[in-house]
Amino acid sequence: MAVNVQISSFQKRTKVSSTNIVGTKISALNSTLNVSSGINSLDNIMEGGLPLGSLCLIEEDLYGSYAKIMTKYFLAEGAVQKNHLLSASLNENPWDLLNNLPSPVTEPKETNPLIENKEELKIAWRYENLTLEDNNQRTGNAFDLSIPYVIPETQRSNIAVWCGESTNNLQEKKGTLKNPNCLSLLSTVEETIKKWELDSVNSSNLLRITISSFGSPFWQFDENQNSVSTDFTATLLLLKSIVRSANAVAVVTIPHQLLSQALVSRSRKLADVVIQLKSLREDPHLRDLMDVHGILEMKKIMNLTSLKPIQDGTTTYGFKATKRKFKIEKLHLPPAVEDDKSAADNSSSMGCSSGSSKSNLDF
Amino acid sequence: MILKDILSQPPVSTVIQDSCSLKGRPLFLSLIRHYSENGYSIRYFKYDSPLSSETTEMEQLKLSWKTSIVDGNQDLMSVENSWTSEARNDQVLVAIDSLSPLLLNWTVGAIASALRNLQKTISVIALVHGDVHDKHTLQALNYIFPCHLAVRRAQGRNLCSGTWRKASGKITDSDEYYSITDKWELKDVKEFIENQPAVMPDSLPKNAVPKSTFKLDLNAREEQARSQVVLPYIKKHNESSSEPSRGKIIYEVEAPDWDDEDPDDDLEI
Repeated sequence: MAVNVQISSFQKRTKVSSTNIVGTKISALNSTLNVSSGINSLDNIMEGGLPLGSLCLIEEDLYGSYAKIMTKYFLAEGAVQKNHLLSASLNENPWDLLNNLPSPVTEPKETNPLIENKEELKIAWRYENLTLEDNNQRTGNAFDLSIPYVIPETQRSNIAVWCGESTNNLQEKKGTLKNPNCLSLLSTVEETIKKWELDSVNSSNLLRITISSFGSPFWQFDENQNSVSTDFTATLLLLKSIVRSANAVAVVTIPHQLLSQALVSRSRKLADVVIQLKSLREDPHLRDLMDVHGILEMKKIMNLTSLKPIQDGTTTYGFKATKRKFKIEKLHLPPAVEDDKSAADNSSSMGCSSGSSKSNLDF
Repeated sequence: MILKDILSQPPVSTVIQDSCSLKGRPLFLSLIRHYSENGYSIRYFKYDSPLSSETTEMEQLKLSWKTSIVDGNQDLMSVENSWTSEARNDQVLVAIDSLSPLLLNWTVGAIASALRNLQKTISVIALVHGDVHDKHTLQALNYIFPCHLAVRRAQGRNLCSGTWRKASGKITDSDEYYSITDKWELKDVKEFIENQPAVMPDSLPKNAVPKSTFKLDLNAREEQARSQVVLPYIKKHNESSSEPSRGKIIYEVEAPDWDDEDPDDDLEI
């Protein structure tokens, strides 16, 4: 009797089903599905991008201009990858943001030359007709802010906005969350996810949510003195739980200079990834550093699948935001000038405070 | 250079913060006068109780205005509605004098939302008294308005410093002197440069010592001794300065260096 008995536990490896969610990549480091943030250098720092299902907090620079640029890159990447987008803002009309996204730029890719020497390869003859591979190819798109991206008509149905319409038909606030703006926002997020069925197992797309300037005076957190602090953190927590259970990533920017330190600390603990931006205007000492527009600090990077943190020592980076590029790089000092006796004190991570300032009081 | 540029453009929503040292109302009124001369109709809301001097000012400017005293029982919506009513055409400017009574009765957030709804269509120029509110409130107001100016007295003159966030994303800071004429014109707008401390010399002074834990500086006695050290090449130069030196090597033979001992003596061959 020919019975196919399985004697050993050896199983022939079948092809791993590749990720079928648009716009995500499996991270090389820890096998999470990562969503590109739109900025190449930021993706490199975060080992592939934002994990799917995470809440990213961006602590804005003084007037939020660079944070807005980062949000635009995030949305533009989503538009190019044909993801669903939800943009929420009380500061301005979210359509202003969506209509001014940077357009992707295809860099002139050098056509990979064939192997130059045409002589026969005696040993490696199988490689004779192959092209040269460039292992350092840039993954991801580059964007140009000066050319507004015209979202194609087919894509327009993938976009939703929330601009603070006060929905009076909300259920009476029974829970702890009292702020009407927050309630409205969260219900909009839930409806959007249901509409596009992003919480089902078979969903093949994801939702990129951006909330601009959450916590600014327009949100009226101070309306109800009893719940001024709980509303803020409760909303973030609820948002996090929503994105965890669906194919979604949320990027929230907060004007942390306007909020109390306690609130900011609590939101840092809540969020999965925390990035702090500091522009040159806030700290004139930064001018001593080589032409960066500001400092970007990764206050927190979350590693969802392992205990070991993703850290390589430096968490402080400088960023340069031009119309063509948003570049994040490690800080480096300007070359030592001859009068600069204090060069030895400068270290990359604290480069701001002890600049090469000359004064008669140097002792 | 905000004050210089702001008058040449369509009205920008501005908040002027003043204090006891300098009243902001003259600047406020001069801006309004300028815009009204350029064809904007001004809707002036006065929430501060007017002083008699102010009544005459207003008559001079030929502005029609209405005072309303706000109290906390009123709903902010009604105040907001009074701002937006009759605002059909584009050339309307709302002037609020001042925001302080409003802030005392309602929270910053509520006023922020009300102003935002207004700012969507109309520019707002508002006055606020900085010494009556706390820092957090003023920071929030600065956040709401694209252009915020603070006036104060400095060196006997009126100084206006502020920031203007343009829609294009450019942010300008400025510190300017200004003065207001009797006819409520803005003049003498000059940039204010803070008095720099004495210009640094290019080279470090002689006694500058690099930072270290060693004592590298010299006291008076040591300095004198140092100044008396004769440097070697100088001495030689003075000696041979009469003849032109042609790069000769001058070797003075000293005692002959003969050693009588046979170096191979200790070898046993």
